[in-house]
Amino acid sequence: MSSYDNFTEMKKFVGFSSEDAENLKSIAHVFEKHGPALTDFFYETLDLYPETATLIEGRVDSLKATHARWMGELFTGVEGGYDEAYFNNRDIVGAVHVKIGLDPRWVEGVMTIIRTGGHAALAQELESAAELGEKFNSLCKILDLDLMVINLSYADERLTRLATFTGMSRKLIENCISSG
Amino acid sequence: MATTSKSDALNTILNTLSASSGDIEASAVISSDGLMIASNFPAGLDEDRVAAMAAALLSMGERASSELARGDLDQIFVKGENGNLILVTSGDEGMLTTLTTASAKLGLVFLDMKRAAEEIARIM
Repeated sequence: MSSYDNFTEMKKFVGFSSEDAENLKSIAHVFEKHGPALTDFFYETLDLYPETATLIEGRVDSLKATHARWMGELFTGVEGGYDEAYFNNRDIVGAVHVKIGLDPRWVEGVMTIIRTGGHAALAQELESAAELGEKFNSLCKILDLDLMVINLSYADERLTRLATFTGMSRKLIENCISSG
Repeated sequence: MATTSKSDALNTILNTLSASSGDIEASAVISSDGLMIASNFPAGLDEDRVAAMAAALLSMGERASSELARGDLDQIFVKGENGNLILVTSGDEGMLTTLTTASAKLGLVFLDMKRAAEEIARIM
């Protein structure tokens, strides 16, 4: 099964619907307002850890712009939706993280920052607890789908690199893993 | 060639190889993807694991030989305290693996393996 098939299967599995897409669009303005502070906090946090500080040194402004674009697309989708163009966009994020040498645990960490910071922002801007719950659920779904795509892409890119380095076919590497 | 007769033919080659020299204790034909195709390895060995390992060794050897400008790989030779493991390519898709005694006369073993590998490549 291709990764895009995995994505569509997981969308169905988590129950990501057109209603979720509408919910996300409806809270875009919250993240236009609070997103920059979340992004700043994220990069300040990365700067506290030597492993990640080295990776962002000297290019924080451009990385912040990329991060802000990624975060904005959570609420608009890519090319107006959450289908193949969206998947391809998120797939590239994983490959880029391998290229720069960022361990996936940091990506998981940023999701927690977006999730908790996002909840706080929504709680400030939305009036009812019911609306907060409903829209936060949609946010959690898209963040987890993003994380899944990024992690799959990350694992795939690592396998590709191992295959290139060792000369082993992907099928042989999978055989080695299952025999390990 | 039907699958069964192909399998029979490969087993015959392996058995002939073992019979040709007391130094060859066991042999196997393995696909380049690490799947066991035919073998007379001793019972109790995890054939899936051994096949994946052998294919990985050969792939790494090919890659290293190429990287270090040593040309096409001829063989992989692993010398252990209790004997040797020898791998040679057999066509584009497979390899022949043998386990030999520690005191094996390697020139003869290599020659027998080369002939067997050529026959295997023709069948596969």
